[in-house]
Amino acid sequence: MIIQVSKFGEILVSRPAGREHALIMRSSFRPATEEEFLELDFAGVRVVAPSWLDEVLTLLREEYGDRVICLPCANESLVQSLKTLEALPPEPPA
Amino acid sequence: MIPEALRQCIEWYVSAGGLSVPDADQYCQTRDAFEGRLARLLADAANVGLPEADAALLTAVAGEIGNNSFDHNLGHWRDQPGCYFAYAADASELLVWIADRGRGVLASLQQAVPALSDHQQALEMAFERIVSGRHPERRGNGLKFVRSVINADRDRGLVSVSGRGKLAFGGLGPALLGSTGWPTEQDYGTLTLVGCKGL
Repeated sequence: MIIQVSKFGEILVSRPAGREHALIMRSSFRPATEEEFLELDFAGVRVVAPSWLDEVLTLLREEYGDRVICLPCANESLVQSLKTLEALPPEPPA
Repeated sequence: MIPEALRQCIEWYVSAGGLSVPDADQYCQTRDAFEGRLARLLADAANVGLPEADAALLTAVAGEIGNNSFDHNLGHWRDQPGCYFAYAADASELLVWIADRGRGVLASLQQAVPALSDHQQALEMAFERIVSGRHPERRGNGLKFVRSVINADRDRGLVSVSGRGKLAFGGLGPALLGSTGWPTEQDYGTLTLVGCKGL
C-alpha cells in the first residue's frame, strides 16, 4: 500500500497537522495483508519538518510497526527530519 | 544588515503593554495563519535564488520555531496570542524572525524539569537536549533539527533570546548576534532570528 503524501499538502510541519493526517492515513489506507508494507511516498512534497513526521510515524507504527517505511526521496528536509528522529527506514521488501 | 522591520518586532517584543496588533503581513494570530505564510516564505526564498533544498530546509526551520510558539503558549499567552513572523530576502541574504510574547522557554521547560531556574540554561537545554515543556508527551526533537540544519552550513546562523537567556550558533551566528541589541531584560517571550547568506 502506497500513500501519496503530497495529497496532504506540500508543506508539512506541525504536530497538529501530522496527528490529523496520521489518523486519516490509518483509517483510509490499510495494507491488504499482515505482510504488506505501508509505504509513504513523498514525491511532490516540498517541506517536511520532524514534528509533523514524528506524529505520522509514531501513530502509524503503533498500528503497523516496522512495516511503515518512507520511500527513498531526495527531499533534504525529509532526509534531515528522518535523521533527527533517528527513524531511518528499514530496507524495503525485496 | 538588520532591517527596520526587525527593529519594529523587537520594540513590540519588549513593549510594556498597550500593544496594538501588528500588521497581518508580519503577525500571525493563529497557527493556520502562520502555516499559510510559510508557503510565502518558501516561494519568496526560491524567487531570490535560494536553491530548492535550502529553501525547504529553512522553511522547515521556521516552521518548527513558529509552531513552538503555539505548541507551548496556547492557554498561556501573556497578552496577544500568536507570533510575529516576518522575513527579508534579497539576492545576498535571507533573514527570518519569529517572536512571541508567550511564557518563554524557561517556564515551559519547568513543566518537564521543575528544578530548572535559569533562562540561559533553559534555552541551551531546549536546543541541545531531547526535552519538551509538553511533558509527558514525547516531544522535543524540533529544535535539535533546527540546530542541526543551521550548523550544517557555515553560511547559516541563528540567534535566539528567551526571557533573560540568549544563544547564537552557526557560522553566521556571531555576526547576527552583533548586528543589533538583543532584549534580555524581561521574563517572558521568545525571539529568534535565522540568517542565510550567499543565495
